[in-house]
Amino acid sequence: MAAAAALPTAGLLAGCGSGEPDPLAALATRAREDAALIDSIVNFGQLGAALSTRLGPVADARRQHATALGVELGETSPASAPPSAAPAPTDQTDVDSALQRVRTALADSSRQAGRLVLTLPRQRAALVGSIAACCSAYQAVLV
Amino acid sequence: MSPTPTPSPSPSPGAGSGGTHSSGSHSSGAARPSGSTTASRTVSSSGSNSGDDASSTPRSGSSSADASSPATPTDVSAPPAPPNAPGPAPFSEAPGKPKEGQPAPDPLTTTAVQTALSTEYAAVWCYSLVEAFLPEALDKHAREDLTAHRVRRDATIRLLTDSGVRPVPAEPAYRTPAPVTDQTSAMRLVVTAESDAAAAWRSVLERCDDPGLRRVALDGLTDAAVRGGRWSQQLGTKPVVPAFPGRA
Repeated sequence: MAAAAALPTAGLLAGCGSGEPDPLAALATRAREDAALIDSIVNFGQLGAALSTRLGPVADARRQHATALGVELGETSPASAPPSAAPAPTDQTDVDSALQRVRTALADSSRQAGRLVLTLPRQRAALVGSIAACCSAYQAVLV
Repeated sequence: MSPTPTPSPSPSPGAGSGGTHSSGSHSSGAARPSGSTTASRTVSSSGSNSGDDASSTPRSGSSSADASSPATPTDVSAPPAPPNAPGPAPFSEAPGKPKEGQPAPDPLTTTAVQTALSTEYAAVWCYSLVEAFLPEALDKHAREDLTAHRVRRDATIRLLTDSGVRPVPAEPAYRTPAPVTDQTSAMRLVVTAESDAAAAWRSVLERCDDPGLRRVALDGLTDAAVRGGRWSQQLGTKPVVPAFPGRA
């Protein structure tokens, strides 16, 4: 599941970039996608209103991750690559399934970041480690 | 941290049992208010010569015994490692899988791991202290977290000894940023302890290259962020999780 989510992203970036894609680029994309997913849930009628207090900070954290990664990537303008729009929330009929979607996304994001931590240069390893830890922690508290 | 002006700490069972001698200075050290920030891994020189672990267990005794008897291994399950053991793969997580035979651990790395160990000692101490202030439902979580920190403390001690490095001993007592007098201040203390642990393990990530140690450090950082998040949620702190756990 994690590999399936991560690999297409890396493939896309490899196709449009010059040479080896920066490994952080996939993390930045993923962070924006998570934020977009949460936005789509929070903006979904009454369900979203009920969840916005809990999920808003998560989206905010993921946007901060994208920004910090963008700085590392040398991006001049934030969010230069718009996230592939999260699919319209069709199965979010209740709070539990919406939270489960976010938890699953955060778990994937944490694994993706955690793998990179093992090989990145030191400074980046610390940054990406914090991102992985943040995703895991929000995954744990969103119950 | 709320600077609650409470001069006399109540001698809690959890805090007091570790140091039966010179208990006066020990317990006042536990709850002395200080002007330091929450990030301080405040180490107090006051107190008895008891272990790091306020609820005295045999394990904590062996851990603190390391300070006075260098030849004694810090953990019963750890093999005795002489300080100058030749050629162990430093910090390699997988046993029997040495990596490129590095001659000696990077001093920067070693210092960072020792600091992380110190925060684990402090966390064990903090969780032992707060038990008395928590209702049963929360105390259960505190005990689980205490166990997790003990496990990581012992694993970190083994990591260092296996690399031929003598682990730093625990301090006899720690100064809390604010007095611990009730449930809220108790939970704030463990949030601080987790925040300190997260910062220390993140610092290890910044100061090592070995993938095995990176994994250890990431686990330490992540677990501290998860536990800190749960306690912050109990407290109602916003945000529940910092965007970059462990970052100053």
